[in-house]
Amino acid sequence: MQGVRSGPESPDAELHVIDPPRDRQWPAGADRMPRLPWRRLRGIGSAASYLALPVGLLIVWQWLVTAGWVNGRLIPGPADILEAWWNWFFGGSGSEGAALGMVAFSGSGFASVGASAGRVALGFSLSCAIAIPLGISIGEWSLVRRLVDPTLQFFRPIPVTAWIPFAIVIFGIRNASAVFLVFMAAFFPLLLNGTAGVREVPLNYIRAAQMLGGRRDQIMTRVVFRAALPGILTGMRLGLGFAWTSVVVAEMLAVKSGVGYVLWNSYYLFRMDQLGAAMLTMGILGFATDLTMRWLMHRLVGWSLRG
Amino acid sequence: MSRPALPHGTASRVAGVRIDGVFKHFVNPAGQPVCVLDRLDLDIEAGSFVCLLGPSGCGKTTLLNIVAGFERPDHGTVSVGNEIVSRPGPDRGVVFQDYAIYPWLTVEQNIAFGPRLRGVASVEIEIITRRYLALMGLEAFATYLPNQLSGGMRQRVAIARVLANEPRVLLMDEPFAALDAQTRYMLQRELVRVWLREKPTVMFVTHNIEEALLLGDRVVLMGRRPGRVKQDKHIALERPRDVSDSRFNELRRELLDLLEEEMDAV
Repeated sequence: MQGVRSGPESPDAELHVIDPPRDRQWPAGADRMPRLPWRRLRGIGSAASYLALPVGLLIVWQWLVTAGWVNGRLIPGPADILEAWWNWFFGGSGSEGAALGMVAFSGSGFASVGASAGRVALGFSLSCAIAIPLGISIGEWSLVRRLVDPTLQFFRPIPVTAWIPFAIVIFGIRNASAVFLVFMAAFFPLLLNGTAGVREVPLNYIRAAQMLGGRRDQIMTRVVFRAALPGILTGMRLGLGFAWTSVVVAEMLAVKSGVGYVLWNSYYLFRMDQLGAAMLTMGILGFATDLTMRWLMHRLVGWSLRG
Repeated sequence: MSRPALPHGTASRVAGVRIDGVFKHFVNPAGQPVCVLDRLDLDIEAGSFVCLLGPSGCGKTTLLNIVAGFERPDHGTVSVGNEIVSRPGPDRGVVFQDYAIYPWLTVEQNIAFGPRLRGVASVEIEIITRRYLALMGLEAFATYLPNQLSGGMRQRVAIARVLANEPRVLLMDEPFAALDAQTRYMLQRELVRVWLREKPTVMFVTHNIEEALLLGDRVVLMGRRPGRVKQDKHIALERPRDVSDSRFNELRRELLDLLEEEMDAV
């Protein structure tokens, strides 16, 4: 259909319904859903469906241990793990703890988390500072791509664990080793997503800025970087996940503090409840950072997210 | 219609376009050169509305991209006013078929984007933004993000964004082709209204005969392989134009015959 045939007296009679002056008369907030009481009920229902599986698993697990179906020395129940966790974070280094062989960990939880988080923060920040600008440059300038791509492609398949001996030899059993490994773990997700983000900027976004009078530097900062930001943040989210994973591995072997170190020590001392507490802590930390990243993405690039 | 004097821009900013012996070829996937535009000449008067009409593959978009400065001709020149085009610039505003407005900016930020890039004072940007929001009927949507708007509304934003930059020439590449028939008709009428008021020079690419006749002072029918001007027609119909008018339909018939002839020839 090519255009719309209009009546002789009023040429725009049938089009008037969707004319913009009518749009202007919409009441403010008419596009928002009204708050209805049943929506709150549905909220409670959806919270229940989120929690049903984990709570159910915990109950079954505890029951298996209490009933003696599972050896509690090998696999302690949730209650024991929670107790070890509480003692790790909030316990004093009292003598009754020492009698049970608990003094090694008691009250040291926050220090362990601080040590691990500090390494993640430092290694990840360094990685961002190098990998993101490099990734953007590779995506934007083919000369940079030709210069560095073969070298990077060579290093990419080397898993982060393979760098551990190298890190220990170069940096020693010290903080720097762990920071280096975190740096390596986050590097490629950051780099590749930065490159992809820049590559996928629609040509017409750039042309539009050119025809509006934008200089090269303005187009880079206000269009290319902004359009690539969702990809860059996705890289950061992935990179942070890998950073947490690698810090545990690094602390098992290359340094003598942090949650990973506690995890490995628990294994040596056969303190399975403490091992569980360390794993639980890793889960909480990873989950919390991921939530933070998701919140950040929603704030910064909400326009690119669905829903 | 006179328009209020503004602190930016000048009264004589509108310029004509002169296309002089423009030749352009591409290399096809088989490695053979294909001539897209063959020594094309075209003179466009300042303040006129010219529609480039032709079947797909006739090089009309390539020609527009050359005028915009996105592509360079192999031979020949394009000049706007007295300046030869060598790169994209704010004197030639482009409206794309896919809008190409920035999804991370609100409607008003998109409209302010050009003046902001050029370092216009923020007080003035405020005035300009208000003016073009009003002109395109977008006031109620100033703080919306493009994702929250329909296709027709997005294209209004794209047009407002370009007009806010006060270009000497407006280049439109099938801007309404992706819209439904009603929205398209509405925007066509609004474009004419805005053009009559602001009188920029417009080069409008379309494959739709009716659209060309509804909008243009002049319809340039292009043939393909290689692209050249097949027919250059002044449209003397008075505005607002009526698609059911008999003279309108005569012209439509005439252009359709020429277009069919062109399509059969390939």
